Amino acid sequence: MEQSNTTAISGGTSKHPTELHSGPHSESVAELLHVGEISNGLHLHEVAQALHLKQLQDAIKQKSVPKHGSSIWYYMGGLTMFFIVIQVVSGLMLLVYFEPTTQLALKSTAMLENQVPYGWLVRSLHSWTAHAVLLMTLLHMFSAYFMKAYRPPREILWVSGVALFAIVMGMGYTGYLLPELSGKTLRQFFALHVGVLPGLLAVLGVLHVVTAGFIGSSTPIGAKVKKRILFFPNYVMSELVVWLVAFAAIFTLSWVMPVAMSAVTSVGPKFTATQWIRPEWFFLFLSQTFRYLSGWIGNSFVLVLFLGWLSIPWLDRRSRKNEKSRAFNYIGIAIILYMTIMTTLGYMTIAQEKDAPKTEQTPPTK
Amino acid sequence: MAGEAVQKRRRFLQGVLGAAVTSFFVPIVYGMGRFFSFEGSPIAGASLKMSAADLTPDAPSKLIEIGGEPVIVVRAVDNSVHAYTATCPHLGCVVTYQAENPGFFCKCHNGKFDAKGVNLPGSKPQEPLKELVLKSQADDLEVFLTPIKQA
Repeated sequence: MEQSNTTAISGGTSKHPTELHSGPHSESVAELLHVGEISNGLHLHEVAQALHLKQLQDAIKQKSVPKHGSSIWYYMGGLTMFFIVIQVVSGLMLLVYFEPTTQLALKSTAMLENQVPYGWLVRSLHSWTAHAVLLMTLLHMFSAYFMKAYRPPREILWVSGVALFAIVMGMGYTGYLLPELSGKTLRQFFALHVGVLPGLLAVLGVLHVVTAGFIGSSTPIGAKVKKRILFFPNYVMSELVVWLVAFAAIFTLSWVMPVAMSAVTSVGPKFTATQWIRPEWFFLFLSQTFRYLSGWIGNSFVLVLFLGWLSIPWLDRRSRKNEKSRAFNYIGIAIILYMTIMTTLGYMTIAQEKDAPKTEQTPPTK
Repeated sequence: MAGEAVQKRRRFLQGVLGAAVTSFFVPIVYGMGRFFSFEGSPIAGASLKMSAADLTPDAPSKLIEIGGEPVIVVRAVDNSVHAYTATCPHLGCVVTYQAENPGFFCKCHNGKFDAKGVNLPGSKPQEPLKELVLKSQADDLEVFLTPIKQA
């Protein structure tokens, strides 16, 4: 059995705090902050000691990332985080002008779109990046799945990651309809979208990223580690380049293909465009499932799938022993097939409804 | 000598990097500045009809609401009718009109304005109340939530 679960951080040198700045040539954060202590009396040096900043710095210095054939997938998690940061910034900017009331939801969005300088761009960025977050989350989650990165001691990363997937799905679901909604639904969706879900996302996201940083990246079973790359600065720099390219791509998309405003620009009676309102692509596999299995059957089915997905690290016993587990590869492929087929069927259903908008209220026959 | 050349090249590359980072952030900061400094309202242009007969010598002012915004309509001493935003520019309380000593008053922080809505020196508000577009036909008034453009 190979030892592929070595933790990347060997840090945690258990020096007594008073020894921390005894080294004559160590440029520690604590020492740098020591200057601050003298000038402002904030006792930052003690704070730095209490927070174990020196150990943290040592740990980061020693942290390394394995390089092997599947290393490219390691960028997906960082990209997800980067896109979420864009979402927070652009979302806070939208929050300055969006008014979550029945009378003004649509009008304030139209004002943002047509009058506020670069308002259309911020809205467009928020919309495109939402798609990017979902896409990257899916890529990150399935790459972690097929690389069996959920093996011990990384169960917590899988569980928090699946929960984060549910949260970003919820963010997407509560976000894209906000300008169209009214009354209590508008207030509830707004509260979820800008309060409840971002709060959960922040807590679980920090847990996920910090834990990943400390446990280090997993190496797929049987992968040949060519070498290890220093996390800082080498890996961080390569990650920054990826982020810059991603930002350029998302910015170009937002500029060249701004979000469709068909529903929002017409400040006419609400919901005239109902036939065009459809679930986003990332939600189609679920909405289509609920078309076939309505009520408690559908809910139970999705709940069981979700709980099963959460428990993967414990269900996959062979991976726990670092043995190849073909069965779970097939399960993963089956799930991707299921999602793809349901999404395709979802698009076909939408196409049918577009052709016959009058029958949109009647439940589908199949 | 070689070390000096390396230093020189390093300084040059650092300069290039700094220029690149600056040129990346400057447009973003500029755009954000424009974005946040926008002044406007999604209900600009909304209007409300009322009758001038509601403004009597005993009650020469009336507080109305247009699209959720408080607006005060006043019959001035010269009998002309004007409409102003009733939101105090200090901290957003609703102002009242005082006929005995013509002018507007904000109870929150003792803000005072003259009969034309101009803030009086020495009181908290630093901006005048905005006069709004008002169309009249005989006794029929229509107040618009659109400020009159100052000349």
